[in-house]
Amino acid sequence: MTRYVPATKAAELSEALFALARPPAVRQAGEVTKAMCAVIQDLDGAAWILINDQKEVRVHEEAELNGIADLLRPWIGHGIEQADIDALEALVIASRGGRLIVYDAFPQVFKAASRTRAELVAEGKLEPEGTL
Amino acid sequence: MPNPIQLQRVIYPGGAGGGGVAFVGALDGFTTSLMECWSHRRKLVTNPVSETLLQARRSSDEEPLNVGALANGELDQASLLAFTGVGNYAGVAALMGQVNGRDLIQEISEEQRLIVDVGSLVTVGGKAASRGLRAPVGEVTGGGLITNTFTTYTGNVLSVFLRGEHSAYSGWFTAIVDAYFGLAKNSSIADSSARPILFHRNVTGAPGLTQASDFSGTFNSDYLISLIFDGTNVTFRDGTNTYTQAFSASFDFNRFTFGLLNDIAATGFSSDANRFQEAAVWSSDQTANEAAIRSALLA
Repeated sequence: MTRYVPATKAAELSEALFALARPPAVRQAGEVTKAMCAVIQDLDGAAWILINDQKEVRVHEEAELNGIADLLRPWIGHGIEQADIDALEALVIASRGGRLIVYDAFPQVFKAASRTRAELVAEGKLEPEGTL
Repeated sequence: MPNPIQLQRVIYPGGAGGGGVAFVGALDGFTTSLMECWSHRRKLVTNPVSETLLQARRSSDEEPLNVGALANGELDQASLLAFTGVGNYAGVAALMGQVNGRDLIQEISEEQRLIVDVGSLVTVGGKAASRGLRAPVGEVTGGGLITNTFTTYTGNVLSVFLRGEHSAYSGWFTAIVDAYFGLAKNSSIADSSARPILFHRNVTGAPGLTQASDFSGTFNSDYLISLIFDGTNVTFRDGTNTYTQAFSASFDFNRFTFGLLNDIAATGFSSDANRFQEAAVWSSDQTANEAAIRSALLA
């Protein structure tokens, strides 16, 4: 199922997640793909990143947590602690050359704030289907 | 701003399949005012600006591959399938504009249309195509390809030909389009006056074309649809039916889109298994050539 996770820097997070599989250092010139997940704005203008909770990605042998850690640091003291970032970094390093379910790696504070599309519609943040 | 894909054009020497017959592009006879054309399956003109037809991205490790054509002009399917691997998927990151390099791109991996699905080539009429992403009802996916913004044409005359295929999908919006396409004025979906024009096929309503209003009636696609704005009317035609409605408003043609995009989805569409193979756009009324172009694209 697709989870909608609120993220003020959703586009940057999507790019950072893609970098786990395809670090910038290994990309070729002319490579088009640069982000992993779709990002939408709700009717209030807030950004949500769409994460399939079963989505599994390869973690490149040279993958670093850098981009994701940068996005998480402002949350220290607001539901995230440095220990959480350290644990995530350890998970990425341990997963190098293997695979990782992206949603499983999300800090609990973000999972708790996530929604399904139906929930966002019910909250009036998205229009129901069929309203073009 | 140059399209990033233009930084790395790949020249393919060609391969087997030519049979000794010189390749001739299907649209070579119709290049006057041809603004752009794209194809998953082949070179549509003999001398495209790029010998790369598309850039694929395989799901197993996100690695890209620029795929070109064989000597007969057809996509090098063998290279694509070998690269993707058994049981894997490949998305379309870019579909090259063959006339002016206005490539259709999708930078987000989860939004890329699939050209290889569980190790098998996605096809229309037995030739390479891509399909939109299939999502459970109530979920949103993309499956969009979109050009960079360009401003080359403002007017009320335009001709678009598109080959694709829809396939039934249970849910509210069964088969939106053979391949949805839009002419998005300023790409501002939220502005109703600037909404893209859609081909769509809707189980709960009238299929056809949407902007100010729908065409009524049903249509049976032969997987090649045309949309011609002649300055007075817009005519939508498939292999069986013709629908015409008044449309004389001028529009800016500055972006081309195939497939669903997030902002569309956010206003109420779920995705579906629509297939898109190739398309061409002229900044002129191609009514006089319509039958010939149709024949060329169906060949």
